[in-house]
Amino acid sequence: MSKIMIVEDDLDLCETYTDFLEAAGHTVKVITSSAQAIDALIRERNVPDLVILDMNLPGESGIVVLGFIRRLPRLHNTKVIIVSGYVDMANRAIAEWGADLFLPKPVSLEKLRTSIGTFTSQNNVVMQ
Amino acid sequence: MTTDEPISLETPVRLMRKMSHDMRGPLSTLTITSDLFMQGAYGEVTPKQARAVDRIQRNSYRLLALLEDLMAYVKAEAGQFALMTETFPPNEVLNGVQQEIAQYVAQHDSQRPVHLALCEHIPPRLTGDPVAVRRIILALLWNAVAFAASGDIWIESCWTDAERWTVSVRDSGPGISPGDQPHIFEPFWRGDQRPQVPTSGFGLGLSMARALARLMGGDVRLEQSSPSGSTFLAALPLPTVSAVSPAANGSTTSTPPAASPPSTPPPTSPSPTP
Repeated sequence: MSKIMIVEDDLDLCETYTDFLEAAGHTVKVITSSAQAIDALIRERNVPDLVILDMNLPGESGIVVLGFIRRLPRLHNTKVIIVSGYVDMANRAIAEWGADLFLPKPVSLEKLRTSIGTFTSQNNVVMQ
Repeated sequence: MTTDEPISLETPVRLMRKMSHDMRGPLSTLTITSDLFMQGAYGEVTPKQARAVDRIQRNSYRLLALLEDLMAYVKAEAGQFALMTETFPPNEVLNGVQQEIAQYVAQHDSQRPVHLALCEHIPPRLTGDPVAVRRIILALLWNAVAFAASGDIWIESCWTDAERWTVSVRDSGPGISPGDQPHIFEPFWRGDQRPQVPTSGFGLGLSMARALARLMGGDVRLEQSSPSGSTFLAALPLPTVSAVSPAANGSTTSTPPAASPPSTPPPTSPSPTP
């Protein structure tokens, strides 16, 4: 099972992601701003395997978090999926900012399951 | 904004973009939560609960369709819809939309075949924006599904020497009254006729389809309507691959939005896009 960090300021959506991910056996940490995300990434010894990142966050954009992850050597293996309502940003998110995947909102459960499975070597998440 | 400030189309586009973004988070919560619920993540689901959640799901997708149609319509009318330029197989687009609609109809009314007549002479690949083309044709089809309660639906494709692809969608519904016909391309227009399916849209599909077609230099129009059915036609200028520069073949580029909005009047109709 994987360690997954959710960086999203929509608390209902955070709870929804958490329900799904915890039921699939992952360890989940929820962060609601870019500053808190960077702080957690600096402080915590256990680096996340995967970050589910929103772009439009209070204060700095989620792109700042992505840039930080890409610059920090110990986060070299951390995968980042941007899930955003700015649906026309897919190409830039991957080519310019270095995301591993871009998912436009609203994302379906099936798409989320498949995408997370790709990055966590867990292709067949079973609900409890 | 002060009252003296001129109102431009750029402002609605910015507002729409912001609204589109902000609505997608709650829609994600609705769709994922209802999917989790249906898959038993919160306990066993009774048949009555399943029907209730199905209504939540269907209406979440209706809201998303409204959002996407409105966004496309406003951007197209403002000349800010960035059309892609790539080569695509037109028959594959038609097969895809036919299957999508046929699948929906089969789930709700097995007595409504959706026929597809492909054009024999159409080039294998055309140049244009296949996503926008698909949206236009789907809007016409959803309109037929929603407003013709029963009977067959026909999709017919034709290619002209002027490098114009025409796709017509014919239904066997009751037709559109002469009084309603001048208004059917107006956004959110609802005439006397009511949609016949529960997942109908909001009267924006035809408006969006015409706005996109006109942005391409084409058009969408009502070809004929009688008590035995209506035919809508999309005429889309799409060069063949051999007619465009080699650099465009197989490549994908984005055409910058037009500098000014089209001079055409605001389109639309009673078209749903579930």
